[in-house]
Amino acid sequence: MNEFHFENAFPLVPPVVHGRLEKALEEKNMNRQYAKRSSVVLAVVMALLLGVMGLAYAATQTGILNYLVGGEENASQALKDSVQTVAATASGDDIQIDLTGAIYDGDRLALSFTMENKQPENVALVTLDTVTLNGKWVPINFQSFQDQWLPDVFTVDVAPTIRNPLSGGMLSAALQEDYTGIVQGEATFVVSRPVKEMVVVDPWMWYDLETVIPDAEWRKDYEDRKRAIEQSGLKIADVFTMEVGYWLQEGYTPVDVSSLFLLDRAEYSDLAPFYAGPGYGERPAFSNVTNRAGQMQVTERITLSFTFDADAAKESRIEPVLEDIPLENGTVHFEKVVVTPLSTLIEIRIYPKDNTQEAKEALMECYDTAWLCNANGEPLDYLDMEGEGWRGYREETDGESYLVIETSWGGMKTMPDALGFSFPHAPETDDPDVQRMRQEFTEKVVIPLK
Amino acid sequence: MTEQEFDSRVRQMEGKMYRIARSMLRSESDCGDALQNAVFAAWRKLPSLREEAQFEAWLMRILLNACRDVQRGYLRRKGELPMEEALHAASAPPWDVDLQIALQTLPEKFRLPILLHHMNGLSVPVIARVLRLPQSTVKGRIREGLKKLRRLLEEEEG
Repeated sequence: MNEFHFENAFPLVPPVVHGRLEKALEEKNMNRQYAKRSSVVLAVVMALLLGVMGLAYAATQTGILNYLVGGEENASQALKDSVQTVAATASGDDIQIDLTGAIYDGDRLALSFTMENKQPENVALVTLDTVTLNGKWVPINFQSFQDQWLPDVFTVDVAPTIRNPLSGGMLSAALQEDYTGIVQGEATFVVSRPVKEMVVVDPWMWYDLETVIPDAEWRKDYEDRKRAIEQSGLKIADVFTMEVGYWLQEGYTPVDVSSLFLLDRAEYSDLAPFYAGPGYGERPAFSNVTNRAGQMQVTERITLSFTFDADAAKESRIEPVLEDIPLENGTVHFEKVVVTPLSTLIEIRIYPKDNTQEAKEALMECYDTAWLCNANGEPLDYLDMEGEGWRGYREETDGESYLVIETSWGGMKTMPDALGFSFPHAPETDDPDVQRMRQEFTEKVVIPLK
Repeated sequence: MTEQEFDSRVRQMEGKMYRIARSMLRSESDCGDALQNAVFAAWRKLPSLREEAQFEAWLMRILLNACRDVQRGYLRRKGELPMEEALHAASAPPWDVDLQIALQTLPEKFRLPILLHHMNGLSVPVIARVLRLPQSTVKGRIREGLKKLRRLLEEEEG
């Protein structure tokens, strides 16, 4: 033991972090490729929507390019040319959902929607249920409107703040199947509404935000949400009635400022082991729709039917075939190289020089990421969409294993004649000299595109 | 490991993950980014986890990488709050801001082993795996780090 009380050195897990973790657990099956961009874009859309509240919205404000890159002005010509008009609309229980645009690039389908609660005084939760193409279910990698409250008074920081009954978002699906011709699609959404009156039970509503959050920009988000909750008509527990059990006994559905449903401790213990204990310093809460028994009820399922032309993607898609590259301690094999107006995808496999544990570990130590650049090693001119990388060993059934490095980025504003592909080979360490070495000494490969 | 078990184990580690992220990053928002990215990465990489018993150390390793990704963003962004100011901004009393600042002042190579051991309760062999260091180095850094921490707090008081 030691004389320091490290447990006092950090604040309790704040709601914003707890909310992000819960959101991540819910969304972990989705690709977050466009998450950051969409947040920014949706904030822009929100501003636009606030300006036209009460008026019919213009389709261009909520189109697919807005969600992907923040508007037509930020899109490449190739991306603009890829947009397909797929108007479809459906409604139920006073919720109207419109499909406003689609892009399919041969690997990925992106769809944009608007949603409107025509009965805004009665808050609703809209959740994407399934998407099918030609009658078969497809996995969704990313959606910007996961658990969309309409009107949304709860969101802050992670996602945009759309404080009115009209909202919107996009989804994207990385498709495993090759499609040709006209594809028939269906997207089904579930509408849920609270069974009992909701009450916001959260000390954040009563904090002096100037004291708690001196950072002005960050504080603005909280002030905005606090104001939205105050103006929403939702009941707000006063600072002396923060006991969740009291509100449950009174017949309310208590939620926190992030819209997480709050549980009584006794009720929570009944749910164990299906739910982990509350985070350090946190109250028991959950947000999984299917387990909101007794608090939310499904009031409607809304299905939109649409079609898109899969052949339209072929002309703008580049898939160069590349030969293996021998390395000192392995061999690089290009499994996938695809450049489209929507995506830049590369997957390489690095096979160890032999199948010994030492050889595998040597590769893991050496190669941990990959960089895409132009042929001169300069950064690519990507559209402002978020990308992601992934690495790890895959074991084949015959015992063969290899390192996979996969990078997935958005499309490019301008297409270079060739791509440069490089990956550092030096152990990962905090040592600045080695870090510098990792930057400087890389394998480089030039991939012709034209 | 099933999805439910994964979620459950991540939730159990929420406090530990947050404290490590908070010790490396400047804002709650950045901590949220790091935790979120770590969860995404861990879920994707779960098939590569060979021993479930190593889950905690494995997740911590992924979290450290996620935190470093966020740190790399600091180099690209301008106008950030200085570390000390950011700490004061993010952690209102009653938290021990002096201890937190002293910890942040410690070089990361001392800070992480101390927090992983004394705050998150990981054993020296596990920390050695998380940080990819020899056990003897981990022990030495904890010992040396505590000494430095003591000196920093004494200077603060003095």
